[in-house]
Amino acid sequence: MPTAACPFCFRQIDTSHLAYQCVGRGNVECKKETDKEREKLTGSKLETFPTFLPQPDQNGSANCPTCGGPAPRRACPTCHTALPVDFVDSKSPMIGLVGAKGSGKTVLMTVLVKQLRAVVGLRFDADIQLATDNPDGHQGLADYQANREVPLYSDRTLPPQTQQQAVARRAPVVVRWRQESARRLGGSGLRSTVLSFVDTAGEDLNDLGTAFTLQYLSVCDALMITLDPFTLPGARARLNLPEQAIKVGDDAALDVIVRITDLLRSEHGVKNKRKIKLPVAIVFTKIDAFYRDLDRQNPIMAQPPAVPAYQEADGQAVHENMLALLHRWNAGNVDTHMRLNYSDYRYFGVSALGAEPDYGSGTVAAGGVQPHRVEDPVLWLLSKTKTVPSV
Amino acid sequence: MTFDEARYVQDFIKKYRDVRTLPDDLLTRYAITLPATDADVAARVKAVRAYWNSKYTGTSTNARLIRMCRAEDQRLQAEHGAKMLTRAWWEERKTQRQSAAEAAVKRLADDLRQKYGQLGVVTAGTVDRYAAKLSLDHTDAARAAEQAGLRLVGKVTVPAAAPIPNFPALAESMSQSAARSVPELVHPGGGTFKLLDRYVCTSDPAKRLDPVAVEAQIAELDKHGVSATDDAKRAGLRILRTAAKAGVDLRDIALYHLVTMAHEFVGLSLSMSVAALQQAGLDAGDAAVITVLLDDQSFESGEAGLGKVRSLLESGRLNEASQAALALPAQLSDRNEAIKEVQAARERLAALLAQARQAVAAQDEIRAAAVLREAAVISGEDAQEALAATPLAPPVNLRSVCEEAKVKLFWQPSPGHDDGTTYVVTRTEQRPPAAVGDGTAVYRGGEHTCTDTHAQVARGLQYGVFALADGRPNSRPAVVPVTLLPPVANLEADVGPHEVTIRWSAHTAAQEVRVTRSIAGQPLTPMPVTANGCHLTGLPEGQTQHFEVTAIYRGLDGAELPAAAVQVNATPRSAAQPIPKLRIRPVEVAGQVRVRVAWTPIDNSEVRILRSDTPPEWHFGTWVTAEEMTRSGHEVTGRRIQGKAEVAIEAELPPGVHHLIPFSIGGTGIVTGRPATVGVTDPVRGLDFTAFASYATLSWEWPRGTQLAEVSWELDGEADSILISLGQYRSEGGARVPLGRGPCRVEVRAVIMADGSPFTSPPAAVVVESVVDSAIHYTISSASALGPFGGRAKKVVYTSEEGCEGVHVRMVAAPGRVMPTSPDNAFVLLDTALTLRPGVPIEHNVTVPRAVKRPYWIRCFVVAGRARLVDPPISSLKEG
Repeated sequence: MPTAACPFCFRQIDTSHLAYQCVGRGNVECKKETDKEREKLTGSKLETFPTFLPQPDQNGSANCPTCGGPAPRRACPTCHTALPVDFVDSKSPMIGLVGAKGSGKTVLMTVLVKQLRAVVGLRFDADIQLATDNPDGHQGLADYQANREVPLYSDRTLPPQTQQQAVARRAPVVVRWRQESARRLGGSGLRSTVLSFVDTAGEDLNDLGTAFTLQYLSVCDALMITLDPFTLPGARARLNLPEQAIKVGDDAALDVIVRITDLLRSEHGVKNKRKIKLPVAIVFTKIDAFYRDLDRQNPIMAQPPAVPAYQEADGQAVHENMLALLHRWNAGNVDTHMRLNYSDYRYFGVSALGAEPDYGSGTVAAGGVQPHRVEDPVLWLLSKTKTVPSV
Repeated sequence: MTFDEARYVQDFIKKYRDVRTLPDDLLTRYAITLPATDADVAARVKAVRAYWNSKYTGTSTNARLIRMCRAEDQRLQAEHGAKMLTRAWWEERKTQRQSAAEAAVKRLADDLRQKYGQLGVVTAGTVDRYAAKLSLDHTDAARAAEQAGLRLVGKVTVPAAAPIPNFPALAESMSQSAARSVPELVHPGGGTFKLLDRYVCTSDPAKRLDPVAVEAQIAELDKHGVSATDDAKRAGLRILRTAAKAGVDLRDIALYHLVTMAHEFVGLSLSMSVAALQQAGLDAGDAAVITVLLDDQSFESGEAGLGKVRSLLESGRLNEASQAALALPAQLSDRNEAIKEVQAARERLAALLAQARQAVAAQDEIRAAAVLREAAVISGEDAQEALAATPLAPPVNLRSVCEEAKVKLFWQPSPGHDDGTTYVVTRTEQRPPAAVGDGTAVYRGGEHTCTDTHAQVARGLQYGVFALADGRPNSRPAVVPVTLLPPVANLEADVGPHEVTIRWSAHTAAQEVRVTRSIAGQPLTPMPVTANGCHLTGLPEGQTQHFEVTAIYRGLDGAELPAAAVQVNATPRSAAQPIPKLRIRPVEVAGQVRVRVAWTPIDNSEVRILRSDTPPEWHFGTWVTAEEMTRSGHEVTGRRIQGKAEVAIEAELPPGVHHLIPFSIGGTGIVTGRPATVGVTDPVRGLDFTAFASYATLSWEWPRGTQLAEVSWELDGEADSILISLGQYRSEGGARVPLGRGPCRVEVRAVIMADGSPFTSPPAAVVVESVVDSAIHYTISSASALGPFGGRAKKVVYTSEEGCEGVHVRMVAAPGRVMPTSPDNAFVLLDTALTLRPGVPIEHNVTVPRAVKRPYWIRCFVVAGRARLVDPPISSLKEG
């Protein structure tokens, strides 16, 4: 039975037996309503046409049992959310984005999604678009842009602290990456990859029992853990930060990683004697704050090579330089934990904003958003699944 | 269980301190709660007795009750002795008490049914009073009411006093017009209504009891002829309108009216009260509730006697209170007190009425009215009578404005004026009007302004404004003196190349018109006048002439009375030539972006530049009127730079695209020049840079609405520039400029496109001090290797594309997993000064000492000199 994780509810689903969703083109009226299953499992109250399961022996298209109209759209049989059109025929790696409160996940995800669509797409000659009707809980692309991108890019306003899941469950941002690929027998075809990102509020990690978090981590194919270097006393000592910039305690970074390690070990059934094989990108955010402290030749400060591939040598150089920086920050225990618990991890230094914002007023710097290396972790993780080539 | 003294006082002492006989409930009296042990009971009885012993002396009502308790306790002790200290004795008392309570509930239910059964409702206060007499608690009392089939009326209040001082006048009007209720007055024939929660007309719920409804009914009555009934209705409705404007709820007035009606019956028969209220149109349910409430109140106000007198005094019914006091039986102890209180109120009333009279004598009608409002609280009847004799206050802030041959008057109403107040304006000469009929009538109506179009010119006029209202004497006049002197009108000037002609029209009463003229810096000189004009010739072209024209009148005594002078400027000019070209460019003046608009003067005409957001509708050379020119946009103003070959204006324009039109104003009219378009944008702000290895990223704040910027720089003697869009800037995270061998000055200008041409803002500049050093690449390889690990002999090869000289390089080995970031604290493998020719490698062989255990790193660093080392791949730096 071919299975994949639903990018919305994170349940493993039988991709050969997906549900159908009506599009309201029958000869009687079919009403759009909030789907109770979808609301229960994803928190989305978006009104949709009915979703129904096919007959056991049914293949191909189906007609809506209510209005009799065609129902070409496929949906998750568990949460009833419409799936991207090429979900069945594509790779769908689930990339988790977790981190401590105040580590900049929301800003990073907003900038990352925009960067993927506007810059990475051009670099890889790929069509990268949002592929859900409910990105990050918003009512479509326009609503997502109006609430996430316009405030950050045009109004230069930082988003408020992400709410804990109990208050508002975060809907994933699903991105479809479509590009041409060479066929073995010559010629070229189209290849799609569906990426699902979930911005998990940092506080959720303090409660290991949060069902949503467990479900989410249990199906992740790769993980990005964002760490705020401002929470490392050794790093902070090199900066003159305002009080508002420091949002958590001194040990928050390691605490978060240890909690995630515990979760992954239990959810993925990894024995204590073994290391976790899940690829993990440890992403140090707000790296622009340390530009003054770094040698201009340091690869962390350099722009990544603009080639349509993940450049392994550059990635290794950044990794080793970040590790050296960690030791300069007296945070070698982070690496010790990673080395003894994970077999495949890499450090990244990124900046979503590119310059220090005004933490007091929650305003982006005058020059606007200037992303630096935000796509590197995703490209590395995608190179693991061969979605992007590695050179 | 501990004896809670405070709770005992609250639950028993305060509740029964006014009773004449002790309640039967022994458990409450002894504060016993069951179940309890013998020991608990004994302790509680002893504690209560101890409390009584400590509090029974004195004259307070509490002490009186406690004395009664002690006496009764002695009797009980004598009868039951030590049994009183046992649980069994008290359980027996409890059983007896419950049986007695049941009987009392039944008795109460019978009594209530008998008295209130017909009404179907009873107040909680009445039931509680019964309950207290029968030693029942509130729950038992409510049960009795339920058994009697009665609904308990909770917190319903009705007005105790008249909501308006002139309620007697309203009641009188309603009596005369046969309106049985206020709703009936506002909605004649409206039928049954509810009023307690809110006004609801049963047959038409859309009806309202508010100022709108009152106005509608007044308007309806105004359509009728004059009749005594309608006049009385009108008077009543006006009172309601005034009250509503003062914020009084008309429902309160309606309720109070019904309450006064029900008061007459409540003492006699409750059913008669209900019947009277229903006859007035009130819903049966509301009628019953009002009746039981009044019944309850009349009981509470002392069942007549002093309470009734006080109640009447509180509701402003002094005369009725006086009668009630005198009617009290002589043997009643409260009679003297009642008469005394009535007398005191009458004295306060007399004092207030005297103050009101004094205020009227001092022409302070506003204070008089205020004092009478106070008096109405004591006796509405007397206050109303006094008010009827008090004149209205005159209007305030009366002022006049003379406009040509008209006089406009404005005033404001005084306190006490309302929509029913009528104002009469009269005009007299040399003295103020004495009464409404004195002088020439100018205006009569409710407005606060009027215009006199027939005022005599050059006479000492006095205008008087009187306030009039029904039932009140007319006010004194507010007076303003006016002398009307109309200035000349329609003053115009025609110009030629060397002449000016001015024309006007003057009032027929004007004796003469005088014209004076001046030029810049010269005093005014009189000019000869011909009929309604003045013609001057031989004037220099382009020199502005200033004229003042004054109409002269004469008073009755022959004295000269000049009107206000009217002024006009005129400049002799020949026909204007249109401006063929405007030259426009942005300039920065003291940090501000300005636009310099320049043109070549072609004649003596006056040139004005107007700007608009849209292109002009006229072709080059079109003649326009002054109005058309003004309508075409905003005039461009600013520092004017006057030269022989060029005239320019440095103007501050808002950001955006502007169309500028030059207008030439000459002796024969205004002609349109050739328009030009300009784009204005603010400069970029907050220009900053971040230097990386070989380039710097520039960032800045984009001016609102700007989509393009020009970045220019000079690097190692070569200038370069790029045009970057906002979209590119956002996707690339800023603009990049390369670094060179020396500092680089960068300028950024915001760009705005107008009519296909770019217009730039003044530049923002920054100097990037960071430079690029020569790059030295190096590779490290093992000289010989065994197995998977490299050997300890290493070969390092340095190359440089640009070459270098005397660069001090150190190669180190550092044990551990962490890559060294400096040559310190590591084993030095090589320390040498490199001089490289472009593209020619230099090789060194080194050996890593045995002391350096795996894993270890090998790395090179520049210790001195201008160069940067480019690391080889990590795999060749790391060993183990």
